[in-house]
Amino acid sequence: MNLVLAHLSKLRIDLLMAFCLFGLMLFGSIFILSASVEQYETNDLVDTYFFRQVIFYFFGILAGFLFIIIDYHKLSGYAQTFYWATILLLILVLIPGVGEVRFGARRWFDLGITLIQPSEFAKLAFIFALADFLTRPNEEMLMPGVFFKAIGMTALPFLLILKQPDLGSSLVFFPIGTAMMFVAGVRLRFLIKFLSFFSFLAVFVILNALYAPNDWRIPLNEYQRHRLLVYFNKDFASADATPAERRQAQKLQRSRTHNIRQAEISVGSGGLIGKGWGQGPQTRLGYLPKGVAHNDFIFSVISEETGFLGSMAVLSLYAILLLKGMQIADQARDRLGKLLAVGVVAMIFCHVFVNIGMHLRLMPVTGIPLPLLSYGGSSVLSSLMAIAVLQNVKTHRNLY
Amino acid sequence: MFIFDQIRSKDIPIKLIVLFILCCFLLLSSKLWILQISAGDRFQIRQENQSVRAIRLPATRGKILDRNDKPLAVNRLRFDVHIYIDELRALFREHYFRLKKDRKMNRLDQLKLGKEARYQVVSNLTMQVSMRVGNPMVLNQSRFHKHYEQRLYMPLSVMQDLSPVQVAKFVELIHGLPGVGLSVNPVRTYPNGDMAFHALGFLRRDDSPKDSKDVPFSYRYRLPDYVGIDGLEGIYDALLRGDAGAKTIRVNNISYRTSEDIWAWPESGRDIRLSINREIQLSAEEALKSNGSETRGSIIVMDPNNGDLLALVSKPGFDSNKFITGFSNDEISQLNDNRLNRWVNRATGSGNIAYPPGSIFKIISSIAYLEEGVIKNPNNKIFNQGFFRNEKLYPNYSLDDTAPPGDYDFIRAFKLSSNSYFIRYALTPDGRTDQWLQGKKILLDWGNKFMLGKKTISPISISGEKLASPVREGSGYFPSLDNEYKNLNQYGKKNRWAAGDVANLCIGQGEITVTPLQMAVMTSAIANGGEIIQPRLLLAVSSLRENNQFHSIKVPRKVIKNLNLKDETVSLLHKAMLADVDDRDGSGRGARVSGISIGGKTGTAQKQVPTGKFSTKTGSRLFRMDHITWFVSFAPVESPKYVVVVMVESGASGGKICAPIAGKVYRAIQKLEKNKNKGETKLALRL
Repeated sequence: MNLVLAHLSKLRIDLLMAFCLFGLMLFGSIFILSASVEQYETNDLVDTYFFRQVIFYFFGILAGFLFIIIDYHKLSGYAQTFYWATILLLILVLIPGVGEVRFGARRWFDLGITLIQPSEFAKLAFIFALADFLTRPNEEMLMPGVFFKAIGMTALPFLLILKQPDLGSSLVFFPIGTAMMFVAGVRLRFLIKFLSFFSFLAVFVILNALYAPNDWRIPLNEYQRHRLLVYFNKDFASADATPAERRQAQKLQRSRTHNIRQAEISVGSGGLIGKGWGQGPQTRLGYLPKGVAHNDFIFSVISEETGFLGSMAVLSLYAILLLKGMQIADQARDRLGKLLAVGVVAMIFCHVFVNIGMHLRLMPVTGIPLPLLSYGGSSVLSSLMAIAVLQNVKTHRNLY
Repeated sequence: MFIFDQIRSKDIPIKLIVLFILCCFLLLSSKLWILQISAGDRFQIRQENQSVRAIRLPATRGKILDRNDKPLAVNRLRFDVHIYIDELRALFREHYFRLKKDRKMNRLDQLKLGKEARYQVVSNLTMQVSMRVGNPMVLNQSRFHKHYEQRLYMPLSVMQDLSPVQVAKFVELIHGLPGVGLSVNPVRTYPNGDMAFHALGFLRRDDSPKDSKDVPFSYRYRLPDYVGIDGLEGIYDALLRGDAGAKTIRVNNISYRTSEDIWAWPESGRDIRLSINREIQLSAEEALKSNGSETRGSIIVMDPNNGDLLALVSKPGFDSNKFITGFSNDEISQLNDNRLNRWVNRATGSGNIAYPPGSIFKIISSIAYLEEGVIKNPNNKIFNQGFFRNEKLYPNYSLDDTAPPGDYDFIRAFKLSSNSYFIRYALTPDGRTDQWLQGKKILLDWGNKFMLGKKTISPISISGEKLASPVREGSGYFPSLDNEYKNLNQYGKKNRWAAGDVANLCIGQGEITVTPLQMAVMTSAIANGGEIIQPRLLLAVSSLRENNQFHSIKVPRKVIKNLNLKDETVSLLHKAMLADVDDRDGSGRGARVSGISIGGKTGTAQKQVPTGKFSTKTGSRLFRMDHITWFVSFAPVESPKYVVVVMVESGASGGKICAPIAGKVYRAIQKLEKNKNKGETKLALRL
């Protein structure tokens, strides 16, 4: 026992970060239970979201320890292998028969007991690979070749995931890449140019989706276009639609906006202290659709049942976690550690901001999970592994 | 500080990223504040709106009771079998999978199959329940689906209005059937069927009644409610109906009921107590029906001392219950039979129906002559030649008398209803010409004193509450004093009064129509010695503050005016009316009842009614003569307690038809009083 404790103390676990992690996992498991409590009447315990999530946490923590113990230098030795392996998986998942289709997207492998979403792990692999790639002398960093290679590394998984289709997850790669390049010290001029180009592209795509006539549209998926229309509060029906078409479009619009409208009502009706665990009518009565309440829309459940105070608690836990991560990045021994930490923070931040922003109608609807709170093995595992990498950078700070 | 060190970091990119993250979190927090704290209430309401259905709960209707608190219109319990669909969800699933087996289906087929499975489960259940109750029935498929789609949160009513036997069977045999329940609702019932139909009125189903209370939501569903249309149910609908309550049902996203909450309890309506005596009313109706089931007529029994209407009969009526339970085709044609015209209240003249009074008007003529001194000595005899004719003064006018020729003093003329006697005093009291103008003046004067041509009941004001008159009443017609032209002019011509019109008027024909209620008031005035008293149908209204008891809110006796008749006039009239019934040759002898002294007057008025055909020569409307027969009476003559007015349309004569009917009513009253006395003696002995 003492030996274990001695080893643990050598790992110099960041207690504040651990506290945040456990706080989030507690929130996650309790409110996944609340969102799916009626499963107890029909399903075996093994077959409930709550139980499975707890198992995921357990395995996630185990995997996390692996990522703490092994020095990140050693890990990044395999970075390129990891990266290309996940690229391969992302290609495989697109092949019908290999990848599983759920909700109209081919994103999963079916392992029999659970589904695996390779894009979640691709992010982590990408962080390692890019950190490894950007760990080079400052002079090299200023060269355009390095910059473009880095962009290429970002774009490859982006395109593959976009093909699934999963616009939300794929777009996450760019902020992660940008943040890492920014910290690594690439030429700012390049970065600004790249960002401008990217923003211009995004604005163009959005304007095109919102205003362009049918023949001139970029081939976005219909649902993606609808999400943008919902976000910008635009009528689905075009201006010259017949009344029948208009009714059809309005019906479609109601059904498309249903989730986000219900999520907004859930959050808003929570008030200051919420309605109490298991007491939220939105969740209980099924207005917040059962299919998404426990994963992408778990924040609605928490907001409805714990109110502003609970929601702020969740936000604070994330904020502390992220700031802690930045502190680790700041104090990292070398560039590799710093880049890894920044990449992880950027990844988690993107997830948190996009997901919560979606509930508050700051962001359009995407299928991005809330790290550690949303139900889902891949997300939990990759999040815990990513945070373990932060700890790893801290643990191995002073060991030369 | 421990987590903000980075902000002071020398590494500029790190510093910027930290600031960026902090800004984003600030953005999230402030939006969270806006949604949850600033606009929280709004979202709370939206949340309520989408998950709550408000149901209107009608209040129990107030009772209508007779003067002894016997029920005239009350509420019975109606038992319906309901199926609570939300309790069948497990069965739906089970049956769905049984039907589906292991087939692969697309979504549309799955939905169809689910719909079919639901119908089969509920229909099967309906069959089982109805067989056990002993009245097998099939559930209508489209009705079920409609209910499922629109009112899933409400129970489905499958069997309505079970009989007591069926209720007993249900309670005994229904074990083990899921989701089946009995619902109990009050529903209006009239224990005596068509008794006092016109006075009580009827209800009609009304699913959009206005409420006095403000309700903060719009109803998704209203339980069946009824609104009073005619009679007391209609006039005092606001009192009787009470205030509806509301129930809110919380539903889930597919409209299944999850919980219920009474938002406001319904407040039951107020009871009203009538002056009607149910026993007298029943026997009066019986008496009128004894003339034939299609008799068109009316009986009024009134207390001349306080104006209480003890019976208010108008026939033919209809069973008020049918307006709630529904009509057969046969009943609908009965209801709309123009010949019988069941809708009008003949007693009060609703729908402006009114009748010529005929000879019963001679009561007013008599009083006019006696009070004005036209008849100076009632014992003076006048020779009746069997008709009235005065060649010298009125060469164009003559009228046959139904009374036999002979010498007539006042009493004989009254009891034999001699027209020539009364016409003589109207036209030539002193044997001089042009005295008919004087006759017209006094007849119109006294007719107006008796409030003819006016409604007998004015709106009531009790304990600060303004209430409408409890009956819908017609006013009949009587000319005003300065009337120069006849009202009933033909072909639009203005016809001046002539002597013949005065002669007609004094025997109750021509320029006059009355309602039985007006005649009851007139007879009461004779009976009570000259007080025009307002008939009283509504005795009391219960007070909600006093637990729906009748305490403070009572309708007082109301005397409209005193005619200040001379004692001799009154006693002479009493004597004459007594003779009309008691004497062997009196026209109202048919009303005689041993043991009661009854004073009465018969009347048989002629009325032209359109035949519905037209003359082939001139094209004008053809008329036939119809008789309106009357008998007005009071008893006992020594100290009058009852006034009975009988009117029958198309009768033979007042003496032959109406007087015997009045006799039956008096016999029933006599029996009732005897029983009451017996009961009181018994009570006294026991005490």
